[in-house]
Amino acid sequence: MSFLDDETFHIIKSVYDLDVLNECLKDYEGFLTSSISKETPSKCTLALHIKAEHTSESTAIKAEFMNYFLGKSILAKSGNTT
Amino acid sequence: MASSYEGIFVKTDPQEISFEINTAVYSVSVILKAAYYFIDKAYIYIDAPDEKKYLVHLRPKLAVTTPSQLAGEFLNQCLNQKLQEVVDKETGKIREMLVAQAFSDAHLSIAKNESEKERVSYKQDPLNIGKLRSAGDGM
Repeated sequence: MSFLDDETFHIIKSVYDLDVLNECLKDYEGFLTSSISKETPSKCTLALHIKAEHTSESTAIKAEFMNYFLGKSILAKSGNTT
Repeated sequence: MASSYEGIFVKTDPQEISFEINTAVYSVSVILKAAYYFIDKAYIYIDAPDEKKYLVHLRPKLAVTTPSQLAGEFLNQCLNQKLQEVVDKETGKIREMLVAQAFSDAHLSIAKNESEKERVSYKQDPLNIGKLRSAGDGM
């Protein structure tokens, strides 16, 4: 089973920047539906539930979103917000 | 090729690979720098099953690269970033001093030139431009 088959992603504060999460979700409006829950294992800040609006592209959309979120988080953490 | 990596990877399949990274060896900044280096080559998701390790999932974007090759390159990149961190720790202060010195010298020489310009009028012709022109006209 691929990590992209799952609809829940544990967001770790040390890796992902929570300030850019809403911005990223907004950029994927129309492609993804999302919800956030805070009951997570230790070290994880929250659990992000995402579901592609078009099931035929589900894996691709989730993969692109998670990479987009990771890239933006790394830039935000390094002080570059562009 | 993939068998040489056996034991390192948590999960391998034809499309993706997962492996753990010990936080005692590589800091999160090292892992993030390595991840950013691979962001155009693979889909990456980083999880943390517990406090002592990160779990990295990689899925190559192009079929030309196998997941295990990509994971091997990722781990090498972690090592590269770690080495850069060590070198930066050892020589960072010297580099900062050299840059500060270079900028402060440049600033002083600019300031010196500016103050000289303020003091000397063009009518005094400190660079003898007028003399050079008249010599050129006579030729």
